[in-house]
Amino acid sequence: MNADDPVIPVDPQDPAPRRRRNQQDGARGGKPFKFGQKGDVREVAVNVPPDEPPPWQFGDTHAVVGQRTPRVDAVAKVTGKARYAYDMNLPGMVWAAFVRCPHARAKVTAVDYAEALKIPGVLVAKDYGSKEIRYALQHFGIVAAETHAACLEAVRAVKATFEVLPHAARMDQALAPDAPRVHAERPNKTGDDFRPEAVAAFEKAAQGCDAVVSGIATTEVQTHMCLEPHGVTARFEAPDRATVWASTQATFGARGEVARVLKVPEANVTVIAHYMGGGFGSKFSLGVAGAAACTLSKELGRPVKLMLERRAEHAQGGNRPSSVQEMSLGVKKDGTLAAYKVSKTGTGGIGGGAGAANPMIYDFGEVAEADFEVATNAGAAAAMRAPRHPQGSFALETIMNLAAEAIGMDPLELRRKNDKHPIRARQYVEGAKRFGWDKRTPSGSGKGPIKKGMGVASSLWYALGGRGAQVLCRIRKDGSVEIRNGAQDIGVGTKTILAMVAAEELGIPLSRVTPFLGDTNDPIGPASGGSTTAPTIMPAARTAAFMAGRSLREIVAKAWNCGADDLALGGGKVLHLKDGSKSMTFEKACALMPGDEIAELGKRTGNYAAYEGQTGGVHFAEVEVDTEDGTISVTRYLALQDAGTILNPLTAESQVNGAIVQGVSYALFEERILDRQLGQQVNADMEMYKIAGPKDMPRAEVILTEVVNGANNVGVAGLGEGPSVPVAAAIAGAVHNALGFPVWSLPMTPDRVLAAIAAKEKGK
Amino acid sequence: MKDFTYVLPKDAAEAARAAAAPNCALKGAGTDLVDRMKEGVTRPDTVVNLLTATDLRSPIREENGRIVMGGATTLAEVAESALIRKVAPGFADAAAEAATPQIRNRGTVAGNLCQRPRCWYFRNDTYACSKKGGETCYSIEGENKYHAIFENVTCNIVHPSNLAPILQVLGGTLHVVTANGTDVVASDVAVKDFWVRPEEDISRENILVAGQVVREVSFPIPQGMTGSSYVETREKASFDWALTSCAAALTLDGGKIASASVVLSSVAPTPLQLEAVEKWLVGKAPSDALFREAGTKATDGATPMRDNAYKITLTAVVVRRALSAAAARATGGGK
Repeated sequence: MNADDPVIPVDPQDPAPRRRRNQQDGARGGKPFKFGQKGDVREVAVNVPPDEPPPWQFGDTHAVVGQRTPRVDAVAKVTGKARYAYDMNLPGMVWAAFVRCPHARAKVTAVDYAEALKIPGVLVAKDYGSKEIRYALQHFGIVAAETHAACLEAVRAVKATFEVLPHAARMDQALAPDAPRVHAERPNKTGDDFRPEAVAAFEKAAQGCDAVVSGIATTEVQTHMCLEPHGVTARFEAPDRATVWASTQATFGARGEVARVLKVPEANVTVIAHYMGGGFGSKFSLGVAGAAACTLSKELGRPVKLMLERRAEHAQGGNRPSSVQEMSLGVKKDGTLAAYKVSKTGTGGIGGGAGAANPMIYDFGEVAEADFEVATNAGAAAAMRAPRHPQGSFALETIMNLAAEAIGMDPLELRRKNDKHPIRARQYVEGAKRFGWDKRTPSGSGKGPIKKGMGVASSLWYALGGRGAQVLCRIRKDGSVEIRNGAQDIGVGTKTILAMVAAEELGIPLSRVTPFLGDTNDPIGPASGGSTTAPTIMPAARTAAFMAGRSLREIVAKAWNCGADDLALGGGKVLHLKDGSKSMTFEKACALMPGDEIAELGKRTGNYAAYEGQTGGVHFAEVEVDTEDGTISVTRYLALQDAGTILNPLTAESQVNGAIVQGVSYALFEERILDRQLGQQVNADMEMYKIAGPKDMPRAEVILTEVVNGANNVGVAGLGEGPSVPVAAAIAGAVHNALGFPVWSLPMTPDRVLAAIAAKEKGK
Repeated sequence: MKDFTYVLPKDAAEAARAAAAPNCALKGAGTDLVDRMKEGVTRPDTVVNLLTATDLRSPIREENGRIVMGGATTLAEVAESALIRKVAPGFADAAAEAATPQIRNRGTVAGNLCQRPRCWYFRNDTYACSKKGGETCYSIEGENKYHAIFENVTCNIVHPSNLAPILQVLGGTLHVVTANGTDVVASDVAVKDFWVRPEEDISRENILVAGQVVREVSFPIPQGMTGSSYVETREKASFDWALTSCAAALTLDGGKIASASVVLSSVAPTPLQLEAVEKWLVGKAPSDALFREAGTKATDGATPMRDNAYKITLTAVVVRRALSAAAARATGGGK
């Protein structure tokens, strides 16, 4: 990325095109396998590629996979031994920081670095980046110093003068008739209006409906604000090598960028991300901080650390765009949805990428859709955990609840009627029973100031992975096993399931396997986006372990004078399938190997024709709304989530719990507040940018819906995004049930809740 | 953060002498000061760490009809004190409601009273706001969701201390030491006289000047059928600042309110003593209806800005809840 470009590119994480990629079509001549879920098992023909084990089928049992297994790096993390990119302090290392503009739109007219350069220890203070400021806290200069303190003092000492220009930091400002243009070449509002024929079809269909409900849902910008900010520690090694410790979701993508920035071959670059302090879609690129650190390291011939400071992390670290979604939904008495019209407007700042996934999930009949983007003088959006979906889900589930009320139908029934996905169909029933949905009272029927309510919302995602990973499995002569991939574990437990898959395939205990991730000297792996890490890496890991195990079986077969196919690995032993008297421990078998190691590279091949291409989820929330002080307490939460083959229930549940935590925070608290004057984010810290804490958490339960999807030899589905789609929507549905009317704006802070109550009372 | 001289005094007298240095900052736990230093809002040449002054750590105790404690008593110690819980549970509640367990384990009583406002314009060094010597209060035209709805004329901060309103309700006193050259003199300040309104001096929130340190804090043990309470509203249940808060003490006699003290906070630059409400309550029998009306009366004269009118509703709510809780404690024989 061009170091002068302040825009963090939005990752095109839209999962839809990925849906059928790499899928085996037909599988003529393939062997039949049983895939599916309880009550719906299908036979699917699969051509298993050579070198791959057959896919796990419905009904298979496992020894290691499926066990609740603590993270292999848990102790390192909780004791502080885990070293993050921010923790890297190298001999001779220099600290760097950007010099930033406090105005949302300005020209940098003059900069005086003399005072900064006088501070002891300051090595560099100079221009860096564009002089055209397009959002507050955009950088225009850089400093580097021997210590962090000197570096920050130098930033303060830089004297800059600005020609301050009128700005449009907020969406209301950008839509004002006399608003300044954010991008000179186009109006602030762009996008696709309704197609007249779609509107006509909507109107015709609406006429045949028994009720048409309408509403405008709004959501605010949620910043990424990773606990470990964006940045790297970079070490250029003259004349043409580099090692970069990066806080990244894409080690290999970052490697390519480092190579381009430093003009060295990719082969000479190592990117390391052993641990990640927060990646929800905003860390796919090396970023402005990473590029600058690499450049400075080359210039100074010393390692350089540049991590964004907290305020800049809010401004420059990416965010989920806002939305205004204006909807009309026509429904018939029997619950048939016949006509849907939705106009969506949102801002992704200077970077674009706004838009809401609305409609989705339900069959809405005739659909008319308009989609607009508003450019603003604010930090650029970035992909954020299920991009476009949580905001879309909040709006469409809210209008669904209103439609259910209009025809006097239970909101869960309305969903069941209009959603025939086989996984969710099961989850609606199981979830309602588990949650006690039958105890839900009619909307707004509660007495007293504290009102209880229940809500439901649905999730879909496309998380079966695809090509793009190779995994190295080594079996050593001493019986120890290594399993290696160069992609990152962004904190979800990928290292742990990597080891579990290898242990399962080799029939040995987990403790015998050491997993390695996060070093680009190991084989290629995917970026962690679109919920693809586990489903992309794990099949290759299983293949690598299968191939290494096969090599081991061949060695033993030679000793026993039989075929390798007569032997199996299990229970820490090599077993003879036809002669029960013959067995050998795994270690003894390894000791027979002629060389020092077996090393096999497993490759991720394309997906098979899976049971279902989508993953499903249904979430339930229960709330108490205090109608006096406007606070909402989420008291209970139940998430039913399809995860394909569940490799490690413990970390899988954690990932869903994380989505609930983040969703509660999005529903109730998080909001970027931009000052209409300078255009800065006034709550750009961790105090006034409000994030849910322990006391704000519901009693949450996660039920992983096991689906043997057969998409590949493992069949694990990604859990990064699916569970984060419906959380705010489920909570909003519960609030609606409690109050008897929806609160149309996220976050549902006391001022908004009280305003909704006041508006309702005024309307009576 | 620039370099500074770090002083570790052995007692309050030494701390006061050190605090006479120019551009000096007093540090309790540092949960506020260090944040301001990192943000560049406060750039002291000298920092005096009060945690090493042993007499600031004097224990919570009963002395001549008063509850006395060192200025560096932690919020956790207050919240967990059986003595305070018994005589003035409202004071314990106020400490327990503050911040997080980690901060309460470090944060001090005097530090809580003297912390600087949380206004996001004040805490951002790129805004030259009037409190920092600039010419504008940016909250007037800007983002004022959390700002004052009373006395919002010059500077619209709200007082952030949980302990301030309850200590004022209890008739508390700050025991201050002042350095005068090498001499150090002790003096007492009533909590109600401790606050400085922006119109008096916009640069500070209390009367302390260079060379002064709060050594101890005390309040008289409430007498008769008295109940005290502290109630706040906020957005988050975990670690949040109050949107509105109210401390109250009611003394009952023969089923009627004999005396009332009600202080509202988080809604104005200083804690607000609701004298009109107090007078109106005296002589009346406590009831939900009475307290509801008192809550409404408490909002008289509010001057909300564009984004904070909701705080009027929340003011009525906290006043009613605080009075109800105080009355329940008074009648229940509690304090």
